[in-house]
Order: sequence, then structure tokens, then C-alpha cells
Amino acid sequence: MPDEMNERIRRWRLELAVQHGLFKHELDELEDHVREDLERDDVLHQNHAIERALERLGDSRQIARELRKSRRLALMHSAIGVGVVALFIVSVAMAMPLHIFIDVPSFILIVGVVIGGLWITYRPGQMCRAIAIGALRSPPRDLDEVIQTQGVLRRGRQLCWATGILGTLIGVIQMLADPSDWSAIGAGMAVALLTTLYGAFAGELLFGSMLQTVQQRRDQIDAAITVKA
Amino acid sequence: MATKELVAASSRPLVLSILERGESYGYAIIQDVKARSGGELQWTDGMLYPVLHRLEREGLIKSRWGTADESSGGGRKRKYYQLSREGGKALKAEKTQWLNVHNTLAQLWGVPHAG
Repeated sequence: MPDEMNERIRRWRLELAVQHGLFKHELDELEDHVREDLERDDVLHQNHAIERALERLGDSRQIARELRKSRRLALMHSAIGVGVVALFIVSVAMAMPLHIFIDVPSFILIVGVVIGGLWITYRPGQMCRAIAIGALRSPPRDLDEVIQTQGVLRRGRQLCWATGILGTLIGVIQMLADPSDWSAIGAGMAVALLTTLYGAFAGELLFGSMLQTVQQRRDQIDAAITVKA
Repeated sequence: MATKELVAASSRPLVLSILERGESYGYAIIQDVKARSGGELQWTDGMLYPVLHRLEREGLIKSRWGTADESSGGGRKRKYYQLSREGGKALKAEKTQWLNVHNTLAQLWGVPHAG
């Protein structure tokens, strides 16, 4: 098959993988179809033969939507995962008084540092897109956007953990500022431990899960664009 | 030319019936349907694959990855499908339903019955 046709097929696979979320095995099957279509008609060297073969295959968006629908079981699998985590958190919360887990200064510290830290490197639009792609599975525009999203989420996770440690140090300093003041020890301890808890929760359960989702998407894209000529 | 709705509704019995005759793959199934219907049943080629995947998920067909015929495909990967035992039973039920529809219409229109 001519090189330009292989290149066109590679770009077509990339588009279907990135924008429409198709998996390698689905693309392999569609590619086999397109290649056989070209070979059967013996049009390999005609102008625009590949474009016509892709047109005969049909509207990519519609095919991709139907293929995604045909793997509903996979979606159900993720929903069960989210449900189990939620159930676990709710049952722990019910067994203990909820207010002991609430500390407004720790919460503000985490939210402020994470948003501020991301703001230094990324534009607000990039941050919103990263959340949309990671949490809402919004389709990325291209491979560059996937790579950028991984960067935002990785940085977000680092900032959560860093702020957790920062909160611990702030809390300890607060405790030791006046060792004779017993009430300050309790308050300092709360900040120290709860900031770490919030940091771990936000870093791993929120940013970590989103990062994993995007990483899977990236792996899927990397596998999907490998074309054997 | 059959309407879009009729094409969609008939895709399931058509695929099951073709696979009852032996293992096949997407492109060949589409060509088979085109040839047998004299071009009356025109599928959008790519839309066959979601149908195949859905039938596979329902356990009516099974698949395996093989390679395309050396002479035509140069040994690239190809997904082959075959009818499962469950699929055989489902096809029997489909046949009964479609023949009932056919015979009712044939009676109304005064044309010969089938099967």
C-alpha cells in the first residue's frame, strides 16, 4: 500500500482514538475493512481512493457512538467502582461524628494552594478542560490536549500532597508556638492531621483517579495509532 | 430499496443467518448481504460492526482474531465471527417471527407463502 495511504490511515485512527474514544481492537477491525475495500476495488493508486473508502465506511461519529454503546458493560463496571468507594466513605462517616473531620482553615489551605499552584503554570481554560476530560470524560481535541491534561492533573496531585505536608508543618508550628497553651495544641493538631487527610483524599481519589482515566485514554491512543502497513 | 428502519431491524437475523453458514468477518458479511439482496439492502458499512459487537456481548456469536488471507490481505489482523449455540437458538426464534410476518403479508397480498 502506498506510503501516503498508510499515513492517511494512521491519521484517521488517531482521530477516532482521540476524539471518539475507540479502542485498538475496534480500530484494527475497521482498518481491516477499509484496506480490504481498497484492495478489492483495486483502486490503490487512484486519486482520493482512501477518502472514498472512508466515506463508504460511513460517518465516523455515528459509528463510534454505536460502538461505544455496544460496550455498556464497561461503563457499568466504572459505576460500580464509584459506588463502592462512596458506600465505604458514607459508612465511615456514619460510624463517626462528621464534624471532627471538618476544619475550615485546612480546607481553604488545600483549595487555595492547589488552585493557586496550578494557576502559576496553566491557564484557567486549560484547568477546566483537564477536569472535563478527566472527570467527565469529555473527548479531547487532539493528542496534545491529552498530554497537557496529564500535566495539569499530575501537578494537581503533587500540589495536594505538598499542601498536606505544608498543613502538617503549619499545625506543628502552631502547637509549639506556646507549649503552655493546651487549647492551641488541639487546634494545631486538627490542622496538621486534617490537612494531610484532605491532601491525600484530593490527591489520590480526585486527581489520582482523573489522572488514571486520562492515562488509560493515552495508552489506548498510543496503542490505536500503531499501524502495521 | 429497503428503508433505514427495515435495514436496521433485519440486521440481526441477517448476520445470524450468514454466520450459520460458517465463520465470516465484517467485510465479507456486508458483501454477502449486498449480493443476496441484489443491492436492495444497503448498509452503511461501518454500522455492521456495532451490530456484531452487540451480538457478541449477548453471547449469540463468538469471535477470534486471525489473519487475513495471504493472497488478499497480506496477513494483517482480522476478526472472525461464528455462531454460538445460543445464537443458533436465537436464529430459530428470529426465523419463526420473520416468517410469520412474511406469511401474514403474503396472505394479504395474495402471493405464495414461504417455509
